[in-house]
Amino acid sequence: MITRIQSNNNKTLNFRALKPNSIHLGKGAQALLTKANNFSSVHQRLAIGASALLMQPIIDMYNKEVDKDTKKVSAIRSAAKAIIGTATGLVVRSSCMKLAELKYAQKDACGNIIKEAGQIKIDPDKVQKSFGKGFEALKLDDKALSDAIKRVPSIVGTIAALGVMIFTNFLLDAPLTNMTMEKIDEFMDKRLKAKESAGEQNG
Amino acid sequence: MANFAQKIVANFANDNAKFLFLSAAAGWFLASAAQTFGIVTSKKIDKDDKKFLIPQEIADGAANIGLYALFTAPLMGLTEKLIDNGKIAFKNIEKGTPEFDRLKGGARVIASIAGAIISSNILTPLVRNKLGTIAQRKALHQKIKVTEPNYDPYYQPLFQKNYGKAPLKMSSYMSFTRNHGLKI
Repeated sequence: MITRIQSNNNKTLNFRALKPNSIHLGKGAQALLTKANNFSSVHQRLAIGASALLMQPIIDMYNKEVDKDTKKVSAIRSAAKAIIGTATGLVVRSSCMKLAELKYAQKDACGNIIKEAGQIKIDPDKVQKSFGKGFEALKLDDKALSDAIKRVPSIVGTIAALGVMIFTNFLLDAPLTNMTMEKIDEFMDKRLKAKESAGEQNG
Repeated sequence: MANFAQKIVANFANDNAKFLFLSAAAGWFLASAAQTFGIVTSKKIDKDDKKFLIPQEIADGAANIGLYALFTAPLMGLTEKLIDNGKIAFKNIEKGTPEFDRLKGGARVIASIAGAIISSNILTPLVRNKLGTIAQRKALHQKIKVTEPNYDPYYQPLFQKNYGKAPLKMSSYMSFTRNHGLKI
């Protein structure tokens, strides 16, 4: 394969050089990735839930396989599921994570919780006491260990939230999704009727 | 058991992307089971709508977790590979430093969330609508089969339709013609 060619002015053109071999991420992207490394399941649920609300009902509305009424029911259900699933997921996850943070919080001599930049400061000793053997086996350097210890309340909180969600999914999500579905349906019917009556008046 | 739990939590705390990947799959499984239960028990959802929504929900759950795993795990692996072989590099950060590992971890988290968004919000709805429709058609077909009346020579003269199911006897045929006042 020809990758170099001699030009008229005796300069060598290197075609391979025109093709970037790698992407170099700058400071902005690096700042985002550093933040992302400490994202919790709350961030993840929010990102997935918001995009689900935007995308899924549209895909259901364009489903060619079913009739108009089913399309409508299906799209309304997707929207209701996204709203309720995200809301309860966020509430349960953040509550459980908050409880875990309180459990591993660093306290001053008077027993008050120490905060750093508005966030509860995690006591590494408390975390080591609970999960020390696990961290020992990983043989992490100081920086990585410090990062991992800070993430422990988020991990413990998320695992607890999954347990809680076994119940909230049945007791809250399912009935609230059906209720929201009916509300959206009622709202859409009202709007349709209002449009129709406005059209009749204009006509 | 306590040691096992310690190792699990420590491993997840060290590899946030892996934890987010697995916890999302577990969350979807629970949510899907709950949603199916909700539709089955709902008295307000029309029976015909249930015929579509129940298979849609089951298909949704299976497709969601399956596609999520099939799409997201390779995407996370690819991201890691691109960073390791230098196709994606970080300005002024040396390979093998703690800062590099931190950025690589962040990139894997982004890949896991992006994979979840694409698989669960685009691929799954497309697949589940297709699977749900097939399941609905099957359910409707079965329903028709169940409600189809048994061969009755007095009221159903379509012998050919039921040929093979019930033997046609001359006595039945004559009864049918007499009953309907037919002259042959």
